[in-house]
Amino acid sequence: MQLICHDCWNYTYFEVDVETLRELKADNGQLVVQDTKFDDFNYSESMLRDNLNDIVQYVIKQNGAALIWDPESESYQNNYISCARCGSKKITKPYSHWHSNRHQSLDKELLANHKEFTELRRERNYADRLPVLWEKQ
Amino acid sequence: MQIDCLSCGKSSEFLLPLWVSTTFSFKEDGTLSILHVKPLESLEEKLTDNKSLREISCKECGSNEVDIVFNEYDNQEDDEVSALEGL
Repeated sequence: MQLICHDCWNYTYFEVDVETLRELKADNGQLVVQDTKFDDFNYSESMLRDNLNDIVQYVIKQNGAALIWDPESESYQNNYISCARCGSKKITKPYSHWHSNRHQSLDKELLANHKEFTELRRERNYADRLPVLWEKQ
Repeated sequence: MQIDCLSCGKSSEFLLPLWVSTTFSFKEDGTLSILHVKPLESLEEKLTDNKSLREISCKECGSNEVDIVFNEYDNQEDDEVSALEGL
C-alpha cells in the first residue's frame, strides 16, 4: 500500500494527468497522427510511462509538498493524483499526519480551545493570590 | 493540409505535446500498471489555436518555427487564373 484515498479507502486505482508526445505527419494533404518513434524506440510510450512514474514517485516521496489546502472542503488535497473510484483528491501516503479527516483549520482550532485558553489566562492572573474561600453576603 | 518547418524546410514529421489523463493501479510488487489513457486536449483545437502553434516542433531539427497550411490548394486557382491572364 503506497497511496490511499481518505474518502473511499481505495489504495489500488488512481488517476493522474501526464504529458505525452504525438507525431504529426502531413502526407498527400492528409494529417497522420501517430506515436513518435526513433528507429524502433517508441518515444511516446516511454515518455508516458516515465512521466507517470516520476509523478507517482514524487508524491510518495514528498507527500506533504504535493498537497494543497482547499478552504472550501477544509482539507488537504493532492495536487497531482486523484482517486479513480470516487474522484476524490484527498490522496496521501498511509499513516500520514496529513490525514484530512483529522485536520482542523486554525480558526476552528482556536475557537474550540478558547475556553481552555481563558482558564489558563485566569490561572495566571490569579495564581499569586489567595483563593477566595467565602464571599461576603 | 501541409506543415512546413521554416528552419530546415525538409521535414514532414513534427512533434506535439498533449496532456492525457492516465488511470493506473499499483500491483502487488509495487509497480504501476496503466489501465486507461484519455486525451485531455483536442488535437484539432491545438492545431488551429495560434497560442499552441509554438508547441509544435520539427522532428528533424527541433525548431518551433513551423507554418501550417490547412488548405494548400486554396491559392492554386488564383495562380492558374493569373497564369492565364498573363498569357
